[in-house]
Amino acid sequence: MTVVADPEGTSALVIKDFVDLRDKRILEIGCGKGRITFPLAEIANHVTAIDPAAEDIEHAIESTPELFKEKIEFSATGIEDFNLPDGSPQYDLCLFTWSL
Amino acid sequence: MVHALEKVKPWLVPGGYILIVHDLVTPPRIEVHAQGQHKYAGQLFSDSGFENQRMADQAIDQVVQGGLFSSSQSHIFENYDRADSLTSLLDWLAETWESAYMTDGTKRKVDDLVEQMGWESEVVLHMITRIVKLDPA
Repeated sequence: MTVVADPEGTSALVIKDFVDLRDKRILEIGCGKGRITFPLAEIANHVTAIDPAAEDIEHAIESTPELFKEKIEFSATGIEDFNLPDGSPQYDLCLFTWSL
Repeated sequence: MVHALEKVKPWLVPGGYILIVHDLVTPPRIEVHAQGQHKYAGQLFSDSGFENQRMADQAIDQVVQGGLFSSSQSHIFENYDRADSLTSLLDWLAETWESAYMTDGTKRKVDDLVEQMGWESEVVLHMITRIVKLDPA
């Protein structure tokens, strides 16, 4: 089976054209295997990427380019269970990717 | 869905915002692409009537009308998922989008188009997607 979702990377390009991601701290909700996460990390300061699908997160962690390992933090959790330790503001952008 | 938007709002720094990417409540097109040609075969339907997409729309409307956020920008764009065969696409849909289905007529049309357009053809899901920016009000 060979299916490639959005091989042109159109969705990531649209997001990057739509807003200025430079130096931004991003929470991506519904990151899946990191299809959008990696292009975001090219520009952003840091990306916290969450998804309840543990297998997808495992795949995303394994396929993270070395360059982005310091910039991306993956977590196998949904938004319902994800919480910040002190709840204080810390993201410039919360991105729901097909997850609302 | 509204709850998720309410939950993340306090996590935004001043000037921060939310982006939502979601497919529109319209059936994606099934197409066959080869050598620069794009042929329409039919539509992909959903047993749920695209309920998730509809709920995303409603959640956005609800938080804007409720005064929690304002919607400052929105953009609609097209994107494609590409399969090497109809079987691949159907298997992938079974794994990733259980409620999705296509009619037997569409499947036959895809098979006919693949035969006409040659072995390099791709079976393509053509989707219309919206990106919306929400600013905390």
